[in-house]
Amino acid sequence: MSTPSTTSAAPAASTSAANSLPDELLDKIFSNLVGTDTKQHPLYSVCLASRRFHQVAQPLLWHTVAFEVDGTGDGQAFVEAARQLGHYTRVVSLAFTKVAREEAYLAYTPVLKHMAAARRVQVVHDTDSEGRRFQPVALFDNIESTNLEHLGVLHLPRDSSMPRASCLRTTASLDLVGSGFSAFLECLYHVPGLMPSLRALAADLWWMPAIGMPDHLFAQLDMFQASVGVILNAGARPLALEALARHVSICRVFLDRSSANISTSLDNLARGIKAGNVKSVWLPRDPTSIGSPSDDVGLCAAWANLCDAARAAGIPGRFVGDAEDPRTMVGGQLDFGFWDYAKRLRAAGEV
Amino acid sequence: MSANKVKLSTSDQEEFDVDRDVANRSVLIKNMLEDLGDSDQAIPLPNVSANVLKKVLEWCEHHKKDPEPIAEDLDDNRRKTTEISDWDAKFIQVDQEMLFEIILAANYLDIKPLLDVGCKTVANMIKGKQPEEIRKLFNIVNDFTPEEEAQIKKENEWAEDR
Repeated sequence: MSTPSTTSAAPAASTSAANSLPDELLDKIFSNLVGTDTKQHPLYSVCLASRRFHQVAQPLLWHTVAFEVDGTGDGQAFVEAARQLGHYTRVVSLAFTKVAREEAYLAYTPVLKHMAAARRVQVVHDTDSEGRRFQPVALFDNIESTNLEHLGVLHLPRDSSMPRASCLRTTASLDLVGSGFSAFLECLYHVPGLMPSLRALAADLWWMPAIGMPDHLFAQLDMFQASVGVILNAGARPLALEALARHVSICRVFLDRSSANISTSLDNLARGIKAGNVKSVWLPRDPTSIGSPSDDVGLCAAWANLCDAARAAGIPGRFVGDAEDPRTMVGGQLDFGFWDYAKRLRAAGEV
Repeated sequence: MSANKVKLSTSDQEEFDVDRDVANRSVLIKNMLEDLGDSDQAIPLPNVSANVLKKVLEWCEHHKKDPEPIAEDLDDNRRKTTEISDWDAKFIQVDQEMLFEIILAANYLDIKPLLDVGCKTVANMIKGKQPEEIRKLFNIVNDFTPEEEAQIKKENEWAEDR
């Protein structure tokens, strides 16, 4: 342990004890500000305070990088900075929102190349100003980290390139949404020795009906045993969902009004709970997104069935996103079916 | 001297008689006691003044029954919560000079939970402040050249309020 050099009993009024804090203590103070989610990063201000503060805070600022590309910059400064500082990065989240030009996308993704020690990589592609989605063709080409523990891609397109096997050897958790999921899983399946390291897989099955995910891949979900997170969409084939309910332990229920067979899916989920496979249920925060259970007696019964199964198994119900009062979500208009359900879950546990 | 009491001597030559389980919150003192065995000799703490030690002992007294802190992997836990318990929050409401003195003392005496409380408190003070306000807070001067300042702004553009 290093000993601070100056701690006098009565420091002169004009000096501050802060000046005598050694670098290791400044580091300890500043490390509480890593990844802080405010408009301006507090460590950005700390970096600009003085040379010494900059020296201590710079690695911490780059430890967790969250950047939203909105098409206002050209990415050049960011990529250049990442070349110098990206080796400090352990957690990175890039979100592309309302980006109207593919060039903007291509201009920013190379920052990932310089974050070779990243443990968590999250990339989100939102639609552009005209509602189009970008095709992150070169995304995986830029991921070179060999320490990757978590990889998340929101809206992975069908024709996405595949990641290098060397990047995924240490990956224990995958969170993928998009039509490219099936191809991705196929790719993983063919990388020798890879599957056993994967403990958590989250995937949006919204695309399944469209792409017809092969059954043998569902069978592979058996290999994930411990914990598989799935955003379960009712539009997906009931059979597949039944297979999932047998194997998965975390289900995030994500239904919308266009979904068919909601009741069947809910029943499958309830069955998974009863079988002890499903350990957690996530509900959509916005009840309007699933239509109105009050319009549909069968749906109401399915919700109640699921609720009872969850309660009997002691499974906490959670909302996707913030746990808000459902009453505030529908403009004051109560959707009694959902609200009753939510209320019962809330009474039963920790919604 | 009772085996349950420990004598501590501060930088300004004041002596404190402290319950052993209170003093043991300091890993430094605990290790010294283990090395020394039973002794009537005061343990010298040349880096801590009486007014700071008094404050630190107040914390140790309140937390004497706390379980041993679990060692954490620093790299994985960079993103820590900045929550402080109500008692600690009240305890740490001191002038800035005392706050930094407590941090230095907690570091020297190796009292990790107290060091955490102090560091989190300072971190919370930094939040929402502009560079100039941070300089004022720490009583430091801007020693950048304009070029250096521009370079840092450019490198960290992503973290700037946009």
